[in-house]
Amino acid sequence: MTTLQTSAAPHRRRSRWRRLGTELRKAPVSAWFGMLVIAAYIFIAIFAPWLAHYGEAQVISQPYQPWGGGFPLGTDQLGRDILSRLIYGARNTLGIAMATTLLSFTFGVLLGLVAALNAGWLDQLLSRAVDILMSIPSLIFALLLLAAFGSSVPNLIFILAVLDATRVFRLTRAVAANVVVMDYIEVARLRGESMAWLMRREILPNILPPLIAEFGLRFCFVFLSISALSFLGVGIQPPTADWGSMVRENAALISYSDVTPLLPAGAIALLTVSVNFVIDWFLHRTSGLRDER
Amino acid sequence: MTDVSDAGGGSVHTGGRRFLHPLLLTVLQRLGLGVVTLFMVSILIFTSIEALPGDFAEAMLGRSATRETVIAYRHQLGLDQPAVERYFSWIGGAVHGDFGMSLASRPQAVRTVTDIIGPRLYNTFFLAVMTASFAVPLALGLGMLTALYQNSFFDRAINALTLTTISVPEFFIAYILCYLVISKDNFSSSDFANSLPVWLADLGTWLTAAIPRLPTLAVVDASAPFFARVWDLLLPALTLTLVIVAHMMRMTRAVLVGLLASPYIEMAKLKGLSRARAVFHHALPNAWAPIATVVALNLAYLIVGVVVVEVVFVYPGIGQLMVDAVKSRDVPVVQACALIFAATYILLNLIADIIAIVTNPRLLYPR
Amino acid sequence: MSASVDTTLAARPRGAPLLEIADLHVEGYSEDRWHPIVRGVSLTLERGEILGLIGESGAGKSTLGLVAMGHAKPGCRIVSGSVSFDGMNLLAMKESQLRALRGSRIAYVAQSAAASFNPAHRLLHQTIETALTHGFASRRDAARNALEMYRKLRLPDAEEIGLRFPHQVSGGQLQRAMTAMAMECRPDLIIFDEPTTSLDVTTQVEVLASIRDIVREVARAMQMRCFCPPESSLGRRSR
Repeated sequence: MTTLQTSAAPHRRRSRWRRLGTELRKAPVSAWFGMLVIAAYIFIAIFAPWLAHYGEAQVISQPYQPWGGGFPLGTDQLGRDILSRLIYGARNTLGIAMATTLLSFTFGVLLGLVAALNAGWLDQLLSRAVDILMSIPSLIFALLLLAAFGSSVPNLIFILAVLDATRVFRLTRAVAANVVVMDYIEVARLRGESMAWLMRREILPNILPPLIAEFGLRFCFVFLSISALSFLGVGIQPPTADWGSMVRENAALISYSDVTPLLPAGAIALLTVSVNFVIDWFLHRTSGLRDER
Repeated sequence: MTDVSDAGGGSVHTGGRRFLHPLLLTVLQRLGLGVVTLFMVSILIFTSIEALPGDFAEAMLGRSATRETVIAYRHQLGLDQPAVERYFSWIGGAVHGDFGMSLASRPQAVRTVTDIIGPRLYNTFFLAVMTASFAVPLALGLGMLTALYQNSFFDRAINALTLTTISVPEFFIAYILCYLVISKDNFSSSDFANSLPVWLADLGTWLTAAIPRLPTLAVVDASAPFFARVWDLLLPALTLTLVIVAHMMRMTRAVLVGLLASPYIEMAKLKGLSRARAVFHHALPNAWAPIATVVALNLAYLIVGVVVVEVVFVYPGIGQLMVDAVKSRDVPVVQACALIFAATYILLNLIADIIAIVTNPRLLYPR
Repeated sequence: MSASVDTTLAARPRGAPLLEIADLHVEGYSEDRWHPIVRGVSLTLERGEILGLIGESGAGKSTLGLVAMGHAKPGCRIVSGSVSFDGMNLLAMKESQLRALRGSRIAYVAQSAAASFNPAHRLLHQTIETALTHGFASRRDAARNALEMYRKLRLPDAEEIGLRFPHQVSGGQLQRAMTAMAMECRPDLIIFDEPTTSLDVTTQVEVLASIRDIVREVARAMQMRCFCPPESSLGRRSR
């Protein structure tokens, strides 16, 4: 609390950037580790064509070459360079996961805000519909829809986005419902503000912290789901490089005690662990709550 | 019941009896809700196939098929009947366990969906029960220990370990376990070992020798004795265990930490009660409901995890069946599998809700 | 914070003071720092006295009350000073020794009875728990004693109310039940922490009257935390 000062100098608030800087400096090792890893992945994803030596579908040699020579990580079952495919895989898998999460958030947050603001029959309808949708485990429902619609990339993005939007809807509606009962919303309504204005200017800024944390968690979940579906063979289709399918394609190597198939799986694991570390730190700083998933 | 009132503005109990104890009423309501949900889910499963752009029969046969073939195929699949009729014949059969014909069925080799699913369902059930019977007590125990010894080194170590386990994909854990078992034979001769200093390589060889030779491809032999089957399934069960123990333990810990912070626990301490009594006699009775919910939710993770694990270990269960059916677009099988998975999930949630209702003193002994 | 003392209840306070707090400093942890909550408080309580502590919220009354039992709330720590009960230094005692004292010789009546009763157990069970765990009486005797207390505290239908769960009784009844629970072992010192804050005004007066009557009958030292005027009518003189 600032004490009353008799001098005329006003107390200047630290700017947002300075506060962020202080926060970062106080962050634990795990959060730093997480942020560095995430930054590295984003870098690789963006600059993939310049970083990779070969194309993602380019057959350059014999299958299953050992590490070394021109291929730092060997070749896969068709003779393509694994390192290049790993790099392109970052771009593909991350890109698709990001697109899906953004889409699911757009749906989920919009509908959640509408439901919280309306609190009438629309809210009931949406909530019941979401309850029904959530009664089927995500992966199973995704499998069902992929069987019907086929496994193209747009289908994959859309299906996972819709399924994930249900979770985002629930969270948004819950936190927005707490804000909607506040007096300043009532005042704004009486002023004649439109619903869109209310959502954007009054409610949304106040529910950002849990939404940001949820974005991170949802991204991890989507990322793992896409990898799992690709691993099962019904997600991203070859020859597109994708970590999940790379694990499946090279799985035979395990029998020869070759760790190569574990590399793409490890890449997946490393990213999700890093995002979780950062989310953990973020939640700890904003609310001290955790562990309900 | 007598009328009771006190000068301090207390409660007034009315006389007379109620038709149904409120507890029974709540349980019945919940059961009803479960049934309705299952019904709605079945409609959802059915219609999500219906929403296909274009015609399913055409899509299956390809563009070059003649018009007569398409019409005949459509008739064979029953697609020429109106959707509502088809839904009711499907769900009517499902209730009796008859899910119709698989699309892989041929007149010479008739394969009903039930025939295909039956033995697979049993296999998955065996694996799931085996996993749960070990994982649930382990998770609850670890959750309790970490809640009681919050912020100790033990707690933080377990927390870091479980955070890692829940973040990684199941197939990663599965393949690491496979790798470890296979290294038993191959480690000493592998490139990796040769690149290590001799003492480290020797240590590695000694460690890998200690790993039991578990089968990495689950081979299911229906005639095999019980313990042989359990041995065959150890690796898949271990993979699943690692995944769900992590989730369950974290949630249990969160529940117990919340309960231990309750005012009546502090009051127990101020009454001079020992910590053990405070935990077991005061905290635990209030924990059944949230823990039941946690367990039910995590058994739902088990359902999903089973799909990936079965594919990795080539285990002939319903998870692998569903994946194969999706790839071959055998729609009746996919629908039936989806319905079974959904029904299991709904049932687990229902059981959790009912436990929560039945252990709640407010409902057991209403005002 | 000021204190008012009523010495009219005692027969004759004799010997060493029952409770002596000297130069106590307590800190609380919030926003990544330790802040002082109690700064150099000293007080003395003789047997048979009623001591009322009056102060605004946040003044540290609850903290002080808990310290008198040798207990610091999570997030608080006792920095310096001494707390002695009947000549024993509470701050130097082991947890097991403190446990022997709590409930039996020092008892605590919390601010909210609803939050201090376990929703899963019946009232009578929780009332006699202290007597049973400290081994003071058999179950039957303890139960009989508890029912006697209920009657003295003017709880209606004493036998029946003991068999109820906390959610089945009103706030005023719960507060009285908590007082009965505290007095079960006939403690030397009872600490009341804003005992009627969560009640409406009419009930407050009732509950306070019941408390005063029973204390008069049993004549213990009572350390009271008050906030509003009705409660401070129990203690008289202000310093």
